[in-house]
Amino acid sequence: MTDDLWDADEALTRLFNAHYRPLVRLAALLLADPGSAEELVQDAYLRLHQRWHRLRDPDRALAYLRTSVVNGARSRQRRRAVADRYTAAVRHAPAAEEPSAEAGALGALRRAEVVAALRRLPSRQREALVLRYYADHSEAEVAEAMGISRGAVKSHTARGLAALRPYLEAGR
Amino acid sequence: VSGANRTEDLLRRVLHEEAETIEVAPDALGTIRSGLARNRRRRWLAKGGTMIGLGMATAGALAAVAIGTATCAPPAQHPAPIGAVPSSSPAVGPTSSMQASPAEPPATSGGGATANLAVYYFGPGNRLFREFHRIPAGDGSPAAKIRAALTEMMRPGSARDPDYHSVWDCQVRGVTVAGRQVTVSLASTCPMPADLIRPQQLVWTATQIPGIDTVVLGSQQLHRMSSMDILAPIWIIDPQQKAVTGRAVTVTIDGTAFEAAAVVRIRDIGGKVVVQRSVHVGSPAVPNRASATLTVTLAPGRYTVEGFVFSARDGSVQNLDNHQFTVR
Repeated sequence: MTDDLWDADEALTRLFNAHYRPLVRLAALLLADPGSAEELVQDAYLRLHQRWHRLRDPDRALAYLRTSVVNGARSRQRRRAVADRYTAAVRHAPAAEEPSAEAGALGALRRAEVVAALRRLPSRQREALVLRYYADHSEAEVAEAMGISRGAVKSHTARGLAALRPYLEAGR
Repeated sequence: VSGANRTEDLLRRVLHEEAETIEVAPDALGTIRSGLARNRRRRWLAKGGTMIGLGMATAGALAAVAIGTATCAPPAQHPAPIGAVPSSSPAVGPTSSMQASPAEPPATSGGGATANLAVYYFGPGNRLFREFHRIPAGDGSPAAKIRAALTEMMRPGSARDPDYHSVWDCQVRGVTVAGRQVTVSLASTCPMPADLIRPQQLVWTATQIPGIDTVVLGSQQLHRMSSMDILAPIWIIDPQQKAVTGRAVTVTIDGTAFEAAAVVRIRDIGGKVVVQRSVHVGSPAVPNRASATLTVTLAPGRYTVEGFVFSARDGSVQNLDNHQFTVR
């Protein structure tokens, strides 16, 4: 069977097997609440299934999924920010804002600080950094996924990096 | 390396290490298919309501929809069969059926009543292995999920794989979460392990929620040991032990291996090898585990999937994990 003959169900299965896990991890890096990453990505797959008759192209489908995850994460962040303003709740350093510790090349504590700082960045800066340095996208691909110009990607990336530099360089 | 490049490299490493800590549930495809079935039912009901409503007053139409819900089955309660066989996959049987989720019913996304939680057990080599169990998780809060996972871990015989076992025979009295710390209270009669290894089963299970990395147990403050020191070098994520699948079977293996070379082998009920493929997982040279996935097509029957590495010294099978499953 050639790719252009996939039906929606088969496309869903193939794209799930190939990309679900990396997309969940991408979503977890974009969200302040990584626990909702799977739900966000599952919703993206459901929308893809509904629109498959218009996409019918695995490459376009992956771009669609990525954009859907980026937009979904941004939307959830916005809702969360509004809810936080209304509840004005005092929180004990929300667990979702810091990562689990595992052994790695960087110290777990230092990594937690960098990730916490990343989650505090404006959404656009965080998206640009995660897509560029985690998903290894080119500037053009980041621009497409975020729906902005390449110039704006450069600007968001530079500002985000500048904000994280003190955390990344700490202790060097 | 310039300062700017060094900053970029550090950020890459942080993001990739952080991503590796994200636990991804193994039966998400089943959850998505449940969502598809729900959407189809909604569309079918909406269509039915519209057609009936064309010739009736609004109140009458609403009543008709209610009757339709109670007495008629939608035309497609379940998604159509799905074929999922990459061209490079070995085909042992026809390629017509779908990969089913593990034996348990998937929860709806956002349902909150149950959760698919990681539960760690000791297995061969005194290493930790992970299973995912769909279990009631109270209000779905981190504390409720951790309590549910620990209670499941301590339930005698809860491990699906007969090679796995729990070293905790105990009861959870309470779990509280504050920031990145979880405090676990156990029944006063619980024997506390005196060694450093056995508490790791509880620690790894309790710290599965992103953002929680410290366990307070009595007077002790515990953290995860390095994954290289405590986790099984290789484990099979999918299919889970006793899973029932369609003919297109997705095998996911996770771990670390010399030069990242691991092997997936599937045997039929008679022990005959029907699939053997090399896959790339993480390498000890890079301190991260990694997963590999392949899809194969199998005829209905009972199988055993094995994940292992060949010894570089003598070619023997090392670090074997295996699960039994059924293709329907």
